[in-house]
Amino acid sequence: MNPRPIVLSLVFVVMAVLVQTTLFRTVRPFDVSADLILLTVIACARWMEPEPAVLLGFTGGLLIDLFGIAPLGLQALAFTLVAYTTVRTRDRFDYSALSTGLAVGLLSLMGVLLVAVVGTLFGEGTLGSSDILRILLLVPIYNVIVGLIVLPIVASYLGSRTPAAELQP
Amino acid sequence: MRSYGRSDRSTFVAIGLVVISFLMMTFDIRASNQGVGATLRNGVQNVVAPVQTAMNAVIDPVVDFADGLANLAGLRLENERLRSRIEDLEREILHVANLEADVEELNQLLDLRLFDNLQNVAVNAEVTGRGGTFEQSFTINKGTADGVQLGQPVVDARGALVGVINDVSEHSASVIPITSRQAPAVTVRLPNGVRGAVEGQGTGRLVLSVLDADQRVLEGQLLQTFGPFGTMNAYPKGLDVGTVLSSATPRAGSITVQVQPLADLARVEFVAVIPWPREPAAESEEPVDPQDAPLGDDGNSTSNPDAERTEDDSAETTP
Repeated sequence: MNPRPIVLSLVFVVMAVLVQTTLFRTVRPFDVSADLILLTVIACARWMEPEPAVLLGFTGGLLIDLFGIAPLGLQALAFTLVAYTTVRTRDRFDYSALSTGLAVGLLSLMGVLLVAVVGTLFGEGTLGSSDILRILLLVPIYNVIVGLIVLPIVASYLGSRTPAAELQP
Repeated sequence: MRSYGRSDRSTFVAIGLVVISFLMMTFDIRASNQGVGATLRNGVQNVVAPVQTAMNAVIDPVVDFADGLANLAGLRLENERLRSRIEDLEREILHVANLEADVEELNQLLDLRLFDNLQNVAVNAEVTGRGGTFEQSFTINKGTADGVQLGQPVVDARGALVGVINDVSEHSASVIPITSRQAPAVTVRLPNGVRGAVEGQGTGRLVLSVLDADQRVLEGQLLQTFGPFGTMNAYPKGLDVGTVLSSATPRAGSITVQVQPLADLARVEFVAVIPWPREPAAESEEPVDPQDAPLGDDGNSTSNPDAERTEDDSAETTP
């Protein structure tokens, strides 16, 4: 196993955590910001081997859990499942820019929805929030927009090894 | 269909991580923000906080700048709204300033003191209309019902002569200012006691003519109405008329010099109509024609300079 993409993706995730907790603390159109960590997990999982990709999702979620007050592991769980879904569906990403954007949007929606549902099950009351619809709608949209920058950057570092080539038996 | 030879392991890894996540959440909730979870949070936040501070120091100014650019349209609208508000307030200030000027003028009118206590019988009035650009007369809101009569002198709040009643109806009257060519000439007294005649030129200024002058007329000298003299009784004594604009020396025994009226005829808003002569003049429905119709019984109201001079001359020669 080549450690380079794992190290690079960890660097991307840590940078995403820093940017999320600083830049997106203030850049919040309509009081909602993009979920850069989720987006970075999706972007990296497109190119990584399946197990490291799933582990990256867990790590990214856990990191952001450490910056919040929600139960530790809530976003780790959601991001793990998003990373796993990304790995399972990534061969359908590259048909067109539209399909890539759609996939990023749907995976982001899945991540946010999972956090909301599981958080509600664990007493966070997220689904009862008055902002939930706005968040569910805007986070995927913002992620698609920010993805126009993030996806090419990640692809330029991790995309030399295509998923297909890696996954061939 | 792509073959995922090793993807089953990723499924197991995912399931394992999900289970771990559930366990972590459960323990974290049970620990009530204490224990390992809290320690981890504090540790990570302590480590990352300086980095976040440094990043914020760079990011915040950039974000503020970008915010400013993004809000440019909003700022324009706000700017327009504030400009409009400023215009409204400026209009209000002008309105208040006008009201203050009116109040001051009315106060002056209340304090008006005239020869022989004429202020007690004067009829205070407000200017309600003015003629056009080239029309110098103006209308006041008092008429015969208030005791206003044709030919009566009109003064401003400071007692300076404004003009005479030229036309009168029941509740309004028309005033012809002393600067008008159609206004009757005014016999005035210079500070040294010499008499002269002042006439309107239609230019906002007056012309003083002194016949048989033997002394210089000095700039700034105040001219007041002469008062009853012989048969002339158009104006009471002591009304301020104007000031001499430039010094002049007698030439061939006479002086002609320009005079600045004391009353601000263009801005006067409140006036007092003096019931003069004391005995009410015969009421006439005919408007005054200064060219040939004297006001009442006196000869002082004629606008014919020659006639005025002749009368003045004769008056002056009268012992």
